[in-house]
Amino acid sequence: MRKYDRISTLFWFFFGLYIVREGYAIHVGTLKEPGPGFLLFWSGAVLCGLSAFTFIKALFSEEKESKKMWVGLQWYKPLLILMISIVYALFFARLGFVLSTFLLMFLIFKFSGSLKWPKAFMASFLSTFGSWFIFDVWLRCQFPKGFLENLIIYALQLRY
Amino acid sequence: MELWHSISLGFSVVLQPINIFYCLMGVFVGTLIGVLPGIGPSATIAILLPATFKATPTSAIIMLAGVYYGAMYGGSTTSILVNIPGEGSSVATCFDGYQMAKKGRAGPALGICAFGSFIGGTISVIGLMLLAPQLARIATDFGPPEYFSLMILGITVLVFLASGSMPKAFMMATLGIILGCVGIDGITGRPRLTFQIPDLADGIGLVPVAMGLFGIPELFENIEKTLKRDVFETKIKGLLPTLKDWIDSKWAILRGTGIGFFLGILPGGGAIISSFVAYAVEKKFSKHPEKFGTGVVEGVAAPESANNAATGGAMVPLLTLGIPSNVVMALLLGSFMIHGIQPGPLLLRDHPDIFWGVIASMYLGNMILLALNLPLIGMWVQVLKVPYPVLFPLILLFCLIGAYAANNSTFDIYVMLGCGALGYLMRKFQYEAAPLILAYVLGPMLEMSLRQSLILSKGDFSIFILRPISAGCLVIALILLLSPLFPALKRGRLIAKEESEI
Repeated sequence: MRKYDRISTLFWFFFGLYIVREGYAIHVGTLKEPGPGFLLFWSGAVLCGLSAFTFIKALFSEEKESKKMWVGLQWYKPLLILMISIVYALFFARLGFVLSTFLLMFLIFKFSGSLKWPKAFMASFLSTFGSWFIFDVWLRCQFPKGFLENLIIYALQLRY
Repeated sequence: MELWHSISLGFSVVLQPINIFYCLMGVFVGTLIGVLPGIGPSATIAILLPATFKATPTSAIIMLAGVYYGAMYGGSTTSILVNIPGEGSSVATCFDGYQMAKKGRAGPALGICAFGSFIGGTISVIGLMLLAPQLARIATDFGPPEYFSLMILGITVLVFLASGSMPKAFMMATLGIILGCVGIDGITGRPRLTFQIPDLADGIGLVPVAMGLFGIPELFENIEKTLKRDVFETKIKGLLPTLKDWIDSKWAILRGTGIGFFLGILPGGGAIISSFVAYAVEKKFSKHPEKFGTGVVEGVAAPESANNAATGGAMVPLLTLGIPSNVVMALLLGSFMIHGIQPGPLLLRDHPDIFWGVIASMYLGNMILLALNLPLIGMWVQVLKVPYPVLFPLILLFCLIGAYAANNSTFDIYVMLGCGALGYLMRKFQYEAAPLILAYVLGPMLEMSLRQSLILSKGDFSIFILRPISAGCLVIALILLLSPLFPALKRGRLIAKEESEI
């Protein structure tokens, strides 16, 4: 853990320095009249102090070597899920809730859940429909309507 | 007489059909997530927060509180049948519960868990009912210095009890305070850390942060390894404990209840610590301590009574002082605030229906849980067999939808995913999320109390020392911070850390 502590505490130290700078720029104020930057400034300073302390402790730690973090783990799976989720968020408003959710679930069931094509399709369809019913119909959450929903609404308006 | 009148008010609120429905939903979902390893009450409450927006504040809190104590019931099922704790508070139940199952006594183990949980939960609600109004009356005299010191104590206790390094836990608490500062300053109107992003003007939402820090890392950690679950295949029969089981476990249940209730009240305490302490105490009091770990019923009854009693105790500081004693309470506080209600000493005066309604709902919830857990054991066992590759996409979908639904904002989805990545890396680098979220929720109130105190005292910090309650809280916080220098306290912390790692 020693190596990873050195890396992480260095990151937090510089982050703390940034917060101290921001707090000072906003206006620290005085003890009699603390400004909006007062708590930010001092929190940043505490973060710098603690990370420096932990960094030095890790530097002089007696631990011989750090256990490798991702050994024996399928680390690419969380990364894949994160990427798919970010793409989902990017297209959520454009494609609409139904289509984007269906594609999300299909990708995850197929490539991360390792389901076969028909099962992945069915599971995606059911989960999309189920979540649409629970959140859109029952809880009345206002999800974006993409071109598919708008097309259906337009077709229904033409029909009736 | 006044107490009777108050609890009658509570029952008149909770026995409305809509509140019965929300209570039932909450305890059912709570039991379900308690049964399923891989997602805990914190993540579930965070995910369900958006679902409560359409409900009244009373219904929302009834449901979310139900999720909390329902999870305590459900967690024991996997501990006994699979030797994998459904929740952190059910780890201690694994020690003897699974051994009882191996001896063909899974039924009585599950039964004593359900009854012990019911007794512990019900007695703790009585304690809550008796203690909370008195504490609320005392707390009306609290000023900004007392609130500031209490919050510092709460954060410090959570840091002290962190299973990892204390400095690292403190760093996360500091980060939580920094995150709580994002947005427009309430006093001067100046933007802080908004980077000119309009979505950040109101600060970072609690829902995406909580889901990101608790829900997403759980998912990521579970999918990167293969979780093998061997569900105990022997048919479960005879859920009622025998007379001997009752005789052997009566003191375990009562002691566990007392320990759980009082530890639940303490900031930083909660169901996990309570269950371990109750187990350790029971072992110490036992005439045959060498049998603990081999399948003794007291080893199951004590932690289960304690973890449910802790839920009642945890509600005391939240309802009376507005200070959450653990992460779940911090999320419940968030839920109160989302509905425009400020818990604290004025809650009893201004919203007695909410105060007593929540307390009465816990009586009802415990009865529903006893009815749910025993007859539906077969169903929970089937739920355990659902493969995780089918379950986790659904949980992820709920997280994504929940993050969006909070403010109808795609930005919140990005915040949740960002916090998810941060939470995952925090786990890898061994940083705790609990101090972060508690400090994040308390941060704005902490800052307000600090600034008000300094304005009151004209910049003199002695205001925090000269007021007895404030001074007391700060002295305890200082002792805990300096605890690594005291061997006895350090040994106590190490024992808590070792037992939580089992």
